[in-house]
Amino acid sequence: MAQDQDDFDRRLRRLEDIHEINNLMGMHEYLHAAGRNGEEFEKLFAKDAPGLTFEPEDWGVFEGAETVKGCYVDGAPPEVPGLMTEHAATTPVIEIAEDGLTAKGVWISPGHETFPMPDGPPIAHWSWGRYGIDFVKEGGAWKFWHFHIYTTFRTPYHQSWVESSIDRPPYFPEPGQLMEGMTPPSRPVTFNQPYHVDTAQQPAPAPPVPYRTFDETWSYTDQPT
Amino acid sequence: MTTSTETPTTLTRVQRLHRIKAVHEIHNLIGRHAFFNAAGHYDDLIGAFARHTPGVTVELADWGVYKGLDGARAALVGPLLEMARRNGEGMRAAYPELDVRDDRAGMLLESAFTTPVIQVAEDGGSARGVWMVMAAQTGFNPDAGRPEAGWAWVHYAVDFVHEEDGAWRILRLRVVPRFRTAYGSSWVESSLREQAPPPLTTTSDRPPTAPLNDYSVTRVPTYDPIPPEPYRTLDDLPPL
Repeated sequence: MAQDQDDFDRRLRRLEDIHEINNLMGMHEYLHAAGRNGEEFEKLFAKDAPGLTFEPEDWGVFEGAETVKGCYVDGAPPEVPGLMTEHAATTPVIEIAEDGLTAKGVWISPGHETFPMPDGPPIAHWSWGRYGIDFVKEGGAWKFWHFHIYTTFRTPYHQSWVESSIDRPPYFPEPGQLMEGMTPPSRPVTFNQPYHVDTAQQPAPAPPVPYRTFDETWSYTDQPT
Repeated sequence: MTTSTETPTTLTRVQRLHRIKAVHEIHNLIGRHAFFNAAGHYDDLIGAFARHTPGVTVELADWGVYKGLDGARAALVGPLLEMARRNGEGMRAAYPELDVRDDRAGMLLESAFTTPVIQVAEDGGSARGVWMVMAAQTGFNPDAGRPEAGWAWVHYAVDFVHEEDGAWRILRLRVVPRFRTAYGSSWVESSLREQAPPPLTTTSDRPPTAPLNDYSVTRVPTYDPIPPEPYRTLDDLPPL
């Protein structure tokens, strides 16, 4: 009887964990869309667990709270009129570790980005990506631990992603070019493969499979095997 | 301090099970809303609203707040019926060879609900959720003389109640547009051209609770709607 109750509690807890992780992912998107990266970093990123990492697209891997903040908060584009960025979280695959201490999740993220330009009106873009994220539980709440954003494509509204992959818009920054105020990364990109006519889409990030403890799995900001 | 990602630890197993089941039922309810809206199943659309709980409202950012089930129908069904009527009229005039029988022929209102943040009240009697909605839309454009495709991206903020018959239903619904644009124009270009909202057949009961803040080259997006935080009971909820 006691074992049945323990088993029930574990299963109920896992369902709640999945819901809380979906909520956490949603909170990321709404705070990010509102330009509240600083608030998001304080509330939603792990502070106690060692090994906090953040890997956004083609900039590299940022390690440790100060460096992650130096990228995600200090390197965020300024909130100016005409700027608008939104990324949706869809198609989740989430696994909670058996020990309940960590979790892994992937999402497909359709989105749009609009950037003010120095000469002329802002330019609208479609921007799709994926997320591969490891989560850790701190003080009873789930937090982002290893956070990897993968580029699928970024293209001006009036140009397809096929055309943009061949004829890169001239105002796009060079791959890996840091934004103003951004701290340099700690180590190079582990994986980022935007759409290109001569590459086949890869299974990255890999959707998680059930696992017992984090020692048995990989980090989404490690080199893929 | 609980955050958006924590479950209160003082609840019984039964209460926790009810709340996690509620999340799934709410996902299904909002999913059905999308399917009914697209198919023009207007009675089913309104059937998802609270029947035993006072205070039903629908707020459309362009027009204002509509009260009660009659208001919900005026806000959600009225524009769809008017859009369909004009669409059918236009399609039959432009394409007499097609024998258009359904006013909605050529219309498309496909809305994908994504990025949910859902909080079920501690007492299990209500819930609030927000969604990012990506929509592909089509309707007859009399100026162009043909159906015109477009994109729309909006946010939904919805309050739900668990009614006495055991069903979850919508109590309050608010739609906050981010952009709407014809397929051939970006939302930047569309925003630079003055666009009037589609006409409605009825006026709202009171003005919108927030200024319209869809995309504009002169505005910075606001944090609206605000994703819900954990809360205890329906009365504790701030305005949508």
